[in-house]
Amino acid sequence: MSPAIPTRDDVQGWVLSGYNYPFSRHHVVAVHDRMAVRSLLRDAVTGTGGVTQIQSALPWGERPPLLANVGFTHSGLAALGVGRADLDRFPTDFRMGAARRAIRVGDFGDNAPNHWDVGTRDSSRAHLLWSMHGLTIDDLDRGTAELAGLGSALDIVATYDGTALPDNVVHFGYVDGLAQPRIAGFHEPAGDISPLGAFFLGHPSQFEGVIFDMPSPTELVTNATFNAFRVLEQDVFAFEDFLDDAADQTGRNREWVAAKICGRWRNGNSLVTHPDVAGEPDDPTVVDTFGFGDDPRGEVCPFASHIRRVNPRDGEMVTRSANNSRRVIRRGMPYGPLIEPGQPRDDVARGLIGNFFCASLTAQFEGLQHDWINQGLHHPNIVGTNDPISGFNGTGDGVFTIPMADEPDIILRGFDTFTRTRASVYTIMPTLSALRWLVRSA
Amino acid sequence: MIFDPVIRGAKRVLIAFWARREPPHVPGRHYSPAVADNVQRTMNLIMPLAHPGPETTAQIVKLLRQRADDLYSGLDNVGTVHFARFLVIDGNLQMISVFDGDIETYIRDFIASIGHVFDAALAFVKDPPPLPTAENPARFVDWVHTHDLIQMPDDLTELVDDLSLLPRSLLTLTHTEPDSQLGMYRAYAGYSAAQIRQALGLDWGEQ
Repeated sequence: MSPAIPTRDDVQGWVLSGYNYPFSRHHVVAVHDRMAVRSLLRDAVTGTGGVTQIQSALPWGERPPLLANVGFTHSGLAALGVGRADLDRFPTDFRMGAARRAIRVGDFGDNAPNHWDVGTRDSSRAHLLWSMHGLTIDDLDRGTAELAGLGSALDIVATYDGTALPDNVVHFGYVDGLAQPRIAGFHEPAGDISPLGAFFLGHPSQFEGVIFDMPSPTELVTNATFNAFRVLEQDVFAFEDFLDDAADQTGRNREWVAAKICGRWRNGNSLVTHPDVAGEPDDPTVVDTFGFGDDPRGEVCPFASHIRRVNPRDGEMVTRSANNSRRVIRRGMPYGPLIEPGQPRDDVARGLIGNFFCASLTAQFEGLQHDWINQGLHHPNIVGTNDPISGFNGTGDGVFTIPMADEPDIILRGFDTFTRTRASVYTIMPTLSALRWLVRSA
Repeated sequence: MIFDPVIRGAKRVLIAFWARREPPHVPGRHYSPAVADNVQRTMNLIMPLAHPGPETTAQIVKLLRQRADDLYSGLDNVGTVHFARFLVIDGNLQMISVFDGDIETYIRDFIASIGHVFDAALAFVKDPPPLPTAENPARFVDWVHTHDLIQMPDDLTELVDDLSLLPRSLLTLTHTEPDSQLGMYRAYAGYSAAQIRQALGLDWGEQ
């Protein structure tokens, strides 16, 4: 029997909405007292006992000051009392957890788990990911106090605070979050649309004829979504230096180089629709309505650019019909202070707190990271090169080819890895009814 | 020389004792940032047949002939496969292939393209994975891992400090994993199937 279709009042709202709040905070939590934490979760599901209610996807009237969502690691489900037989049915990627899968997603060298924040790589302590969005820092502090109120029943082992930057830019200066998958049943059925099973467990997936494995019990996992939570530190000074060098080497405008490596100008406009100059920012309704089908040589948008790697759209592909198969819902927010133009180098940590939602961590998130971002296997012209923005380029090993129409291709070489993994946690985000089931005996 | 069998037998007992007392580290698949380590990877899937014998082999031959078009066009669609061949040896159905990228991505793309043909072949195998594979892809990937031969590391210094010796770590590993891939030569290392097809002017993907 097919599982129930996910509904807005049941799925966690963060899967379907980026919220667009100014502040976020993510607590990685260790559970010490199962019954006390189950009791907290029960209050969170109902919004009682002075605990902020877990946010569903129902529309709100006035913006709530604080939104809370929760995900669980595999060891977190164990800590909350899910039985061994059920735990063993979860897919291996989730059971192993992010630290043991790290090498597969390109977390080598300085990005390897031994450089991550200790609490997040320790499966005996990383149990819950408590994610909050607030209108003010005070609102977030209130949410933190709700957890801290449990005293020794839990430990907050790591905290990550995100701060939205003006105009939705990220630290590398690009407007972010423009392209998101649209999901059947929730979005207008026009153009490319992902089936429910690409993001909610239990339904036909984006691979023809394939349904991702359903773990058990069904009460817990139906319509749940996996999340790869990632804290990615960005070396903005090195990135800007690279643009200066590339501009010098090529005799091109540095913003043109920035657009070629991303596939979008820093104001968010696509190279496909704005091949020569950035222009005024496109209207949000058209900023993502483009394809690569008319650019078979990558002369407009390079095959190796970030957006063409992670989402080849209608462009040609090695694996036929795979164009939309590795899509993930991205929920990101920068952390750390904005760098002012001309500011001297500092040692302040800044980067992106990224969440990558999918129904299969292996088929979507890891497949994207390993085969496309880090090996360029989807197009023969870029095999063995890594994403210039988010890939592992070692120390000075980066190569990026800009195909040119009427002159020799431009090849940029010798750049570093600009993004360092500081934390990574695989969680599952159950529905609200699943949370009620999980805490039923609290 | 009359003592050779005795000595060999004694060595086997000793190695088995070592392996039980100090189980070897069984190497998993090798991952590295180097492109040559990420293309032309190998899978050696050894699947014991439930009822080995001429009839089973003949049925598998018939199945593969009947579904050859599906199989080959499916592998073309996956696009990252250099070679794939089926064999029956000593009562085992074997699928030996050379592919690009992560094995788990390969298996999942493979299920989406030709899972139905593979399901029919798996019906002849002892203790098959949950079928259809298209509704149990993660469990099929796990099953593949347990039936894929381990691969001896290219860099034997992980196991062997002195190549003039046969160290205990290598002996206990070959005891625990009697079948394994010993090594592989590549005439054109570091190139993907799509790169080679493109260079030869062949159709390499979705055009």
